[in-house]
Amino acid sequence: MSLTHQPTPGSVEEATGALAGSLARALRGTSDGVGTRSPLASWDRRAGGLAAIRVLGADVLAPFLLTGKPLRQEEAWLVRAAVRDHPAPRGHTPEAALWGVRDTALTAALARLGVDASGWEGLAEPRAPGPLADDWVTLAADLVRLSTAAHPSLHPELRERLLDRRLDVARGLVRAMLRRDLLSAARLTRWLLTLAPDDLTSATLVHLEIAGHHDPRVRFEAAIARLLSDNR
Amino acid sequence: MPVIHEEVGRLIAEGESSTTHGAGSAKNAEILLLGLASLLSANPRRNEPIEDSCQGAVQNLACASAF
Repeated sequence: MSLTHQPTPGSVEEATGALAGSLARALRGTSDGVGTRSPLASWDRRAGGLAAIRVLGADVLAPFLLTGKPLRQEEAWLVRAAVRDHPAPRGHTPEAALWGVRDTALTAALARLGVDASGWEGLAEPRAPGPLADDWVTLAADLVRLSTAAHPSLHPELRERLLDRRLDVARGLVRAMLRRDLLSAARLTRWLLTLAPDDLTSATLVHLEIAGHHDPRVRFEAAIARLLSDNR
Repeated sequence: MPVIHEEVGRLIAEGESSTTHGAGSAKNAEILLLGLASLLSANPRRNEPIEDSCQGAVQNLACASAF
């Protein structure tokens, strides 16, 4: 018996899943059979396309960051349009802090690809992440939401602060696996790979690639994790 | 647009509450448990131990679904 979650047709969730699937194929080098077409091409014309780009944040740049493929001007423009159409919340709320860390990662990813995002309308104000939770369950839950920053160079300050919390991240990963929460497990695997890979990440990654194959978002996160692992 | 923007915010803030419903997922497990409960309550005869109902076929099916 297998039940597959079906997002509402036309919803942002559906578009996000479709975009994640397209990006996962690009990461594996199988986009359009030859890998020449941009994984972001025409997403501004699809229902919920720009919203999906905003949801995935810096991860939409993963095929460029992790494979060395150059980011074209029109692709950067799509990201800019997504940020403009879906601006970050202002103020000092937890939500604003979350968007702040995500947009810091997005700005850093764009900079690595040669795009200066300073002055872009809709970006969150750059800010340092708040204090990390003391308990490992809350810490892991927070890191799941911040997974777009899980790259060795996109948020060095956050990574630095996590270096002595590796065991807590591993505990969170094991908990997610026990809960069979594959998306969270994939995101925490990315964080562990960003800190230091080990046998746990190798075994988890294989499991996620097999068990999470039906879910494009898990597939995408696992593809990012695989490249992070291979590129080390 | 406000509805779409709200959905963007919801998806970004989504944390551990998994939306994975595939085989073996946490949410699927809840449904399986419900199914398992209904199967087990599908009346083994009074003089028959639960584990032997239908020559164990019910238990086999339940285990096959769960794992």
